[in-house]
Amino acid sequence: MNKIVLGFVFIFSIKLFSQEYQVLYDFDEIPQTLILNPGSNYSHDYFIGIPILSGLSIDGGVTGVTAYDIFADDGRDINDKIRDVIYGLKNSDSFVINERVEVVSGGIRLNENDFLSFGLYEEFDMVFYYPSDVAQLFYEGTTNLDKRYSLDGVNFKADMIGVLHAGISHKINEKFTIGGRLKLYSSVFSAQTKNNQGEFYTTQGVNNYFHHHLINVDATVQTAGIVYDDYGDLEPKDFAKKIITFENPGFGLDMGFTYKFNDQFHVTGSILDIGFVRNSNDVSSYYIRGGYDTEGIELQFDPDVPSDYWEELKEDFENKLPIDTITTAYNSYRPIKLNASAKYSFGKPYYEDCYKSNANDPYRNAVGGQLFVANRPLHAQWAATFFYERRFGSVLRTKFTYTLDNYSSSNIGIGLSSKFGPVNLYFAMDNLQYLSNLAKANSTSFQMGLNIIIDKKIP
Amino acid sequence: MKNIIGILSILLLLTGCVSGVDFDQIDDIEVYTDHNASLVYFNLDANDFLDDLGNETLVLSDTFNIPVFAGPYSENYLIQADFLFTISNTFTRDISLQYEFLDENDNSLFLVEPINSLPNSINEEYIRIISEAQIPNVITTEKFVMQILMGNGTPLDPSLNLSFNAESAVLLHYKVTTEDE
Repeated sequence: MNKIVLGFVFIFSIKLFSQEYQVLYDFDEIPQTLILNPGSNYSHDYFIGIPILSGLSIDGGVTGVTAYDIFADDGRDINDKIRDVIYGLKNSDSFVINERVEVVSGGIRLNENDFLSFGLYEEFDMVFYYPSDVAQLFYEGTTNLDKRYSLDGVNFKADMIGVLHAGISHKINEKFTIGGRLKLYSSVFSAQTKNNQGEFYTTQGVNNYFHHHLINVDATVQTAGIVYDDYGDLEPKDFAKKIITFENPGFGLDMGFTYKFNDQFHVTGSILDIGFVRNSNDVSSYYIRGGYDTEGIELQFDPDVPSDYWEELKEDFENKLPIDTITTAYNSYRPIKLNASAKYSFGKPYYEDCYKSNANDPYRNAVGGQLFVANRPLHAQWAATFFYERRFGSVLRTKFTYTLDNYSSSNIGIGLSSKFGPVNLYFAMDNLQYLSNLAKANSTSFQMGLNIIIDKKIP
Repeated sequence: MKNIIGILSILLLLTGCVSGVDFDQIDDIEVYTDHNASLVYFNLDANDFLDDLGNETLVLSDTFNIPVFAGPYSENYLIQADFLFTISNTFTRDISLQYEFLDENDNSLFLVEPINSLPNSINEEYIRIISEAQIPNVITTEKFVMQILMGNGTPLDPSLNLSFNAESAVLLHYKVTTEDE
């Protein structure tokens, strides 16, 4: 691996993360907030997203290490720093990448109380947990006799899907709005492994120098769709084809609500991606069970019965530690996300400065808090956010966030949403405190989009 | 206002930078790691050096295939291979052990310096090192031939329970760098 690629990987790892849309959530100036809460009290009449540009999101994060920890220009030998990282990270430390691109999106007010939104987006999501023992085994080799290396830290999940969705936000009364969204998933690829068991260790041998042990192995890797072996011949159209053919389909549901206690205070909540993908095409799952131990090969020196020692050893290994390749369909589950917020608006109402708000909230200022939880293979991903919103004139709305999450206790974010005539442009980014030195950031998310919003009522 | 937003957005993107780091340190990455593995072992007694008619067979040979050097990891990062032997010879004769590396067409790639085991030697340890300069010569090894050559001496008597035993292992030294191989 050359240095450019490795450097890119590290930069990439800190620039991307986490599926925490704390800036966009409940930012109802922006149509995409309906994706995060179908029960948002969306106030516009129609919108259409500019294809591909309406919702670009890329987020990434890593716990336990930053690029700065390794590449700091501090005079320390980089090999010492790598060693610190390898032995400092734990099985619970994770690398997460989430990327989403809205292909098409739109929304239309059906009547005074109902707003329909729909679209198609592509999403890539990956979580990879640091396999501490396996990393140490590769790093220090097999020379530590009797040290046991566990396989139970090997956990990852990655998938790319297309999501065709439609949702309705329904205002029950002036205080209560609920919403739901149906999603049809189309998996491009899926790969996952977890709950693996097994140990490898080396002891002093009896008949030979060393006795190598691989015991109680029970591991599973499931893949479906486009897998790594195909990569050499792949083109972007192959991914698009996978999305539109629904070869590995799935179904999902989002639900949400907004409850207004009064004009100035409301709470919201949503639960997203309750569903699964049924992987039935291009499935290759690998199950490994058993154990094996050896002290090497005993030579016979028998010219009358020459042995193919290696083949015999391989056969014995495969019998005792069989790897079954299964093509049976399996379900993969989307990480379910929970969002909740409370928001208090204040400041000069619109009628005092002749401002007709684009959003449902006419006040200049708002403060509040948000919670986000997503289930991940090993442990929940969470974020608690405090925010302050401020609009400037009739075209610019801003949101400043302070977030505590798995990655940081000091994540500062900003969201900007502008509306020039019918054109809505938004931009959101977090971990701004590391903007001058992203190398120190554990995570950063970035979202932007371009929509056309029309407030004219339907005839 | 439109211009202000545009400028602000661009500034946010452009000001996102890294400082205080030196990515050229990637060139300095050198991870040294050692892996050991048992190879072959054997326990030979007098009967192994006698044929069915009781005639002495002073040369024993066996061929085995162990992919010690297989794979790109060894091709790229292997810098030394130490072949370890522990030998016990309770016979009253000298015994020589030869170890030869062959490619897939049985062409000789490397002949390890023979190990000469003296009579009545117990748990004698020997090491044969394939140096970094010699690694390219053995990296395509597919097979090994081991020959046991017993010297002349007192006639072999199975009832004496004499033996020639050997253990062997390899210690592979890797140096992982970020250089393009």
